[in-house]
Amino acid sequence: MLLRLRAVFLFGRMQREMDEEMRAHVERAADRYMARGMSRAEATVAARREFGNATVIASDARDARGARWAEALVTDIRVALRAMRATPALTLVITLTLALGIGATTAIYSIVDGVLLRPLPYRAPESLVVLHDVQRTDRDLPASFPEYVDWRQRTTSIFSDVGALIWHGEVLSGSGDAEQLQGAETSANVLSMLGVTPTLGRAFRADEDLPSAPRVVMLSDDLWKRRFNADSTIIGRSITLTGQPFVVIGVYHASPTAVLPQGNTFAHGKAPDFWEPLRLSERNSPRGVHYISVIARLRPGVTAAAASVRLAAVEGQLEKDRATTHGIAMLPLATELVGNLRAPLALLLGSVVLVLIVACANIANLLLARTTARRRELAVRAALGAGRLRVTWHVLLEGIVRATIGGVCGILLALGTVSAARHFLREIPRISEVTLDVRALLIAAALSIATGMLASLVPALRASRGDLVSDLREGARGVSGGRDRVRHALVIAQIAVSFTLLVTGALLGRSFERLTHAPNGFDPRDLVTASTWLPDSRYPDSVSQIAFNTRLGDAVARRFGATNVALTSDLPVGGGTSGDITIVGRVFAAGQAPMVQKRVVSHGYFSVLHARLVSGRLFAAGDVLGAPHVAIVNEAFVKRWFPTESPLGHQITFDWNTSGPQTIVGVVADVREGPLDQAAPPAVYAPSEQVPNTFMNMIVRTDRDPSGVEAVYRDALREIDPALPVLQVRTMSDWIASGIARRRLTASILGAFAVAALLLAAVGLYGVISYSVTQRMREFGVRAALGAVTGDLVRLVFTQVAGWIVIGVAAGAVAGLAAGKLVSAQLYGITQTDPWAFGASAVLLAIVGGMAAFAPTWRAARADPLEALHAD
Amino acid sequence: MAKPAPLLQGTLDLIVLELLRSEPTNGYDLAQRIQAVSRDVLQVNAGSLYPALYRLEERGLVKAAWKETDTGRRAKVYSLTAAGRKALESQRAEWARFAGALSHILKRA
Repeated sequence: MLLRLRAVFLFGRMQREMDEEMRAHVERAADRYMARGMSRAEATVAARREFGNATVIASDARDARGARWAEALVTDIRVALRAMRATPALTLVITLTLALGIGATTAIYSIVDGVLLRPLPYRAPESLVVLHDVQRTDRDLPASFPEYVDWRQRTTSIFSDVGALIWHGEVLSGSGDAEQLQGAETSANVLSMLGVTPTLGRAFRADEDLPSAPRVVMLSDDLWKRRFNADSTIIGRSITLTGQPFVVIGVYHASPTAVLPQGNTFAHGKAPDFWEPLRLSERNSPRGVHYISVIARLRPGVTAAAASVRLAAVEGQLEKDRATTHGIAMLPLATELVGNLRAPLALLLGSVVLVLIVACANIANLLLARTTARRRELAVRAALGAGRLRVTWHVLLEGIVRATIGGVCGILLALGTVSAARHFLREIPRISEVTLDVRALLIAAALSIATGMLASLVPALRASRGDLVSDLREGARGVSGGRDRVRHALVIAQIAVSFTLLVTGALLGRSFERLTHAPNGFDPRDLVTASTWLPDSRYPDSVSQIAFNTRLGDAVARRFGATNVALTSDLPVGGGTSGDITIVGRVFAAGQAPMVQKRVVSHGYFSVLHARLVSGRLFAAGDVLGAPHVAIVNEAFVKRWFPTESPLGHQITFDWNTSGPQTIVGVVADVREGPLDQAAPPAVYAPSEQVPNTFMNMIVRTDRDPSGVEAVYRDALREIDPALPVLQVRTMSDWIASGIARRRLTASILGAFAVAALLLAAVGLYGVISYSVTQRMREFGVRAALGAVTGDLVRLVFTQVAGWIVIGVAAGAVAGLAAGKLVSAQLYGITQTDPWAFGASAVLLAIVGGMAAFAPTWRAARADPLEALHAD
Repeated sequence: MAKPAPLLQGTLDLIVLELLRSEPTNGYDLAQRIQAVSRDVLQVNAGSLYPALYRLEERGLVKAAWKETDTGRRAKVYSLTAAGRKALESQRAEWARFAGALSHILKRA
């Protein structure tokens, strides 16, 4: 090592001396020219010309000195760098290709792997499933408590364990500031099912999830360290959560990667602060209330398919025994958390491979073209006596240097993309787990670099082998037609691949675009939302809850105006709360009982959202506790159950939270009270001054940013009840965006691939056309000499380019149709044959292709007959 | 003036050694002197001269030292070593034999 360093050091000195000597030579020659009356500039130019190529001389001079390999290496790298600087277009194009090929594919693979492929951080995650309630008309509801009990009792032959879980907030008070915590209420067995074991104390006992059991809690070690200074005497002590005493029984390690199912949605990589036993009974949680996530672990040896068959039998039994129409659906936990992305996933991984292939093809093409064009130069050098190894080595080294620079750019691009994804796609579950996948990086880099070296090495070996005569004679034209055909096929394949990806990206992007502009039935601009949580212990009855909600609404309205503030039990465009209702005077057949979205809203709700009243009236100041019970329904409700008559005056009953039937007083146009990508579900609204609710979202129409609203909301809360927390202040637009985050991920990843593939295809097209034009300059010259005008030559080149693009697009369109089928479930508002997506992709490709072809075509068009004929 | 003649293979070393024998000199002056002494018939370019100098230095026939020139520039001055003198003698003899043989052939024709 030291010797090597010494050699390089000595070499540096030698190099400097040699430089100085040669510079002195040039200066003295310049002096001579100046003495003859030239200007300094002219003299310098003349002296330089007389001296010759300093680099080559230096290199040859060093060869003469028998320089050591370390010296030679440094020089050769310099020569390679200079060669790269001499061909800036090629260097740029190869660097870009390598950076894209390595960077984009690695980054995107890393994201896909981290979010979708990597096993969940639980014990034996592959056997974990989630059970949903399904009804003919409503798919994938959470379970109700009695259903959970039934399922657990009747599936013991299928599952080794069935557990229930509810995402749950608590307010910690007592020591320091009151703090909002996010945790879970679970049946006693969930922790051991997931493989969470206490690091301190104990886990829940089997009987601790009974309603009669004393209140106990387990804390995450984060919370324990933050709020209790990691004091191990906490075990057995009592803490206050939302006004209730809980005995701390254990501390567990909060893995930052733990993701837990949360009703219809999920928590984003944030581990729960606490676990509490779920203390439910059929009395406090009736069959109509669906809000429980049910997790189960398949018995060893029971496959998912076998489980489904046995579940169907259980379903049949339950239908009879419980006179219910609700069935059971089973999903792998991983699918529940990140969605069924198998089809798009296959497409994404396929894209990774395709983009990488395109990148490698490009590099091979470009270097093949360059080295072939240099065959004459290489032959000349060999004829002048340069060693075969030396010539090959120079070519190889140039390839290595190019590959290294491209590879470094690729790694930087990959790192940048991954950190950008973590920043901008924060609503994606598990995105915080994503790190650059080193294996993928190595594979991508090795493939691209090896391709580059092979592609430059083959012609170099050939040239150095001494096929000199033919190479000298043929010059740069000595390329077989066969190799041209391969080159052209590669370009067509690139066009086809990028077209397929463009179409798929366009389909998803357009779906996403349509979705974000889907009519919600309300105006989401300038809306900010905030919420708080009323503890049952301090707000035990309807009167106190309603009074609180009214006071809070009024306090905020004083700042923003009464017409700009509303309350609702669930924000629109979310999962919401659904349940059964009965319509007085109607009897429903099995499976047809009304299942609706239920909302408790203040009377300003519809006007603040800019929703439209269709008939009847909105809620008014008189709809308070003690006045006749009233309800408003939406048009979807009317269409479903009152298609031919007016619902006004009819009575309905919630089997939840209200006493006595409510009279329908109004019909509103559909506000999207369900997910954005589904039709608006039937909904029933009750006035918040008549029906209590412990969890109300406030919606404020304002042009202020969320922090302005938060300050006012916080002040209002402090005035009314300082122990209550401020939750989830955000704009309505952010809330809507979080609901379609998964689509956004797929669309943006595919979009990124499409752009990468398009750039690569453009680069490839440029390389091949440029090469082909260079090869044909003589032909163009002859044509020009025979009277071809500029237009003829341009047409000549463009006809070839257009042919490639047409064939590529046609092949890509066929593949695009197949790919469209894969993503058809992800499409919204368009079909997989959407002509706009296909048309726009074709136009974009044609434009980019034309741009790539422009410079070389221009060169062909200016073909000078004389120069072309002299060229050889 | 006639076009400068290309150097015959192997003659450059001989010329360099011969010119250095009379006086140590630097690369630039050496190039100028080759041109002058040969009455502009021979022109040697830097691309041949410096590699030749380095080759000779490597073989120990010439040695180099940095000196100040009259114009104040630092210049690398080459001079003949003892081995160089010996090599010059033998190469000179060889050349004479070769040239004699060649002119004999040409005269006969």
